[in-house]
Amino acid sequence: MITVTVYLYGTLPRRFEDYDPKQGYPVALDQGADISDLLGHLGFARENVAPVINGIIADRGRKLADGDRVRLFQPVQGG
Amino acid sequence: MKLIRVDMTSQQVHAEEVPSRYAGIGGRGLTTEMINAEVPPACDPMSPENKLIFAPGILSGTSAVNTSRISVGAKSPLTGTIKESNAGGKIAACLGKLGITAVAVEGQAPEGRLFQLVIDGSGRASLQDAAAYKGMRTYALTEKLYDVHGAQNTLMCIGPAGEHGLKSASIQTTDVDDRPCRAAGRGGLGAVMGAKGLKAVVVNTEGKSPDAVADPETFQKAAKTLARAIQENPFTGQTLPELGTAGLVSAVNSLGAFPSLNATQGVFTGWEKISGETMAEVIRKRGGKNKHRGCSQCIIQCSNEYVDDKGGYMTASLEYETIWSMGGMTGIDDLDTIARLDFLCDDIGLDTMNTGIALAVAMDAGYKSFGDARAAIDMLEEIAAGTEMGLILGNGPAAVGKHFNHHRIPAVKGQGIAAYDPRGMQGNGVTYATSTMGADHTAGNLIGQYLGKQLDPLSAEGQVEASRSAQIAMAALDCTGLCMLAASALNSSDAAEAMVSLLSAKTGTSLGKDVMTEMGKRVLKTEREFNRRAGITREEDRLPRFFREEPLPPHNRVFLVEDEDLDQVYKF
Repeated sequence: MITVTVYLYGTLPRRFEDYDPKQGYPVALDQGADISDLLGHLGFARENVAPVINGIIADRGRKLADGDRVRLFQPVQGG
Repeated sequence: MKLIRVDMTSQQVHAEEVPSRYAGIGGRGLTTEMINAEVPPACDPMSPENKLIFAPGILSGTSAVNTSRISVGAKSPLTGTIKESNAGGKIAACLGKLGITAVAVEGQAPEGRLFQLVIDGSGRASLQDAAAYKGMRTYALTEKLYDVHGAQNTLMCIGPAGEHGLKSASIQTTDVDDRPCRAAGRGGLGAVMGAKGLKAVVVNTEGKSPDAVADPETFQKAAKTLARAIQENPFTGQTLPELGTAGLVSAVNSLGAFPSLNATQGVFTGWEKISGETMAEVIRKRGGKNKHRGCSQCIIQCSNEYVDDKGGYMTASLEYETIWSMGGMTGIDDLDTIARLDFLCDDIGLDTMNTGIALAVAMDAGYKSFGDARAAIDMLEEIAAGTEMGLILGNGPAAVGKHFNHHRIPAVKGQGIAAYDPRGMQGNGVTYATSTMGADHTAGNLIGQYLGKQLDPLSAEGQVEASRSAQIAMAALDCTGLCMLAASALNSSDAAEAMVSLLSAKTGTSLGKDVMTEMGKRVLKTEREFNRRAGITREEDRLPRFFREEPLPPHNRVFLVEDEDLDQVYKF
């Protein structure tokens, strides 16, 4: 198993009652899991969310490693 | 279809039918056409030859939602280019409801004189003396003008910065709560208004003589489709009402493109303290207002009312670009201080972006320390007082950089950049470099494409084409009066078709599906033509050298798009 920490933005945090923005949301996944697996686990599989890891927008096929921090954003336009 | 011409030299005001050469256009399209046709391109922007044009969008004053955007146009004293500065509030809808297509302020009042333009409920305009308001800040001025003229009005006005003729001076306008907190901020057009001797424009809100909609049935149907699309779009229907534009703080920092400490860092260390999520929580806990309506007919409600820890009003609305310029750029990670700086800018009549960057350049040059909140507030007060240093700061980042002989000036054609670093979002750099307005994110912002992974923000590839398309789309949008945030919902085909139907039904012309693209191209070409005649060359369509020479952490990229590629943006 691996554990990744998910940070949620916009209106996404309210879907998780126990979400703490300082600590993030720990998610345990199987070895070899990718972004798609993570989104499926969180219930975001069919939603337009942007995963960002280390400042880069990640593909859904990107493999996850133990300790990764994944930030999830909703679509935005300029303001 | 009424054009009001105000001659400040003689104080004569007259209304005329809109000439046929300007018929059917509005907003930026109209300000651009008028300035290109009527203002000598080489003129001094502060001279009587310049004109200040106020034009609501084509759809302003109709029943279509989110269409109360006004274009203010002139030759800019900040950039030396043609300029359209765009603001929300109520005034565009109110002018539309009076059947006023544009107000053109011409000439110059005799030295020492100050006037207000008052437009009553039947659309009659008159110039009245405003000497008693000389030097007043906008909040006090607004209170006074409402006392004198009554609550059934909306205002545009300048503060001390505009009267001082400073190049960062804004024109403030009142929101739905009658506070002067909405701004045509960019390009120093407050200085043009000050040079003309015009302190305020007072417009009655109870007009009942809008131009007829040619096909009301089609219009209503399309207006409903547009409203539904705005409500159903996740960004305009959920994120913006909850967090406002401040929701972008998290996203842009997470992508390493938030220009911080005068564009030396791409992630601001204290960003989580000033994020939209944090701001919304602070407002909620203190009893302020999130999901607040700032502009007429707005169904998004992206505005907010930020209050202090006792629940007292501090400012409205705290927006992404201001949180960046007054926070990230200056190293101030305290929302209360940023709110105070935002209020002061509105009150003094200053563009928060250009002013925040000016402060950051001064800090970077060693005049003050990054993060020094007291120094930032004091610098704004110096601008208001018109001290020697205040005049330098109020003329923007280029003036400050020149004064301190400091090389790192994040501005193009004199106008400060926005909250997307060109090294972390390369296409936004293309827009800053090539916009007809100087650096301007509203001219063509690609953040949505980056976050949607349609374009790699760190590579040069595809940026010129993306910026070109965005600049054309924005130029067209600015003609319509529709808010650029609401326009995010136009990415559905239903909504895009509804937009064409609205324009067709309003003007009584059968417009093709490419009307927006054609309109945008025409506007940009006209603006380029004015700038060319004003002496602006392609050598000025460039970013400052430091963007190519100083890598931006954390990605450690420089700006990569070649000069010859920048010169391709206007090949259409």
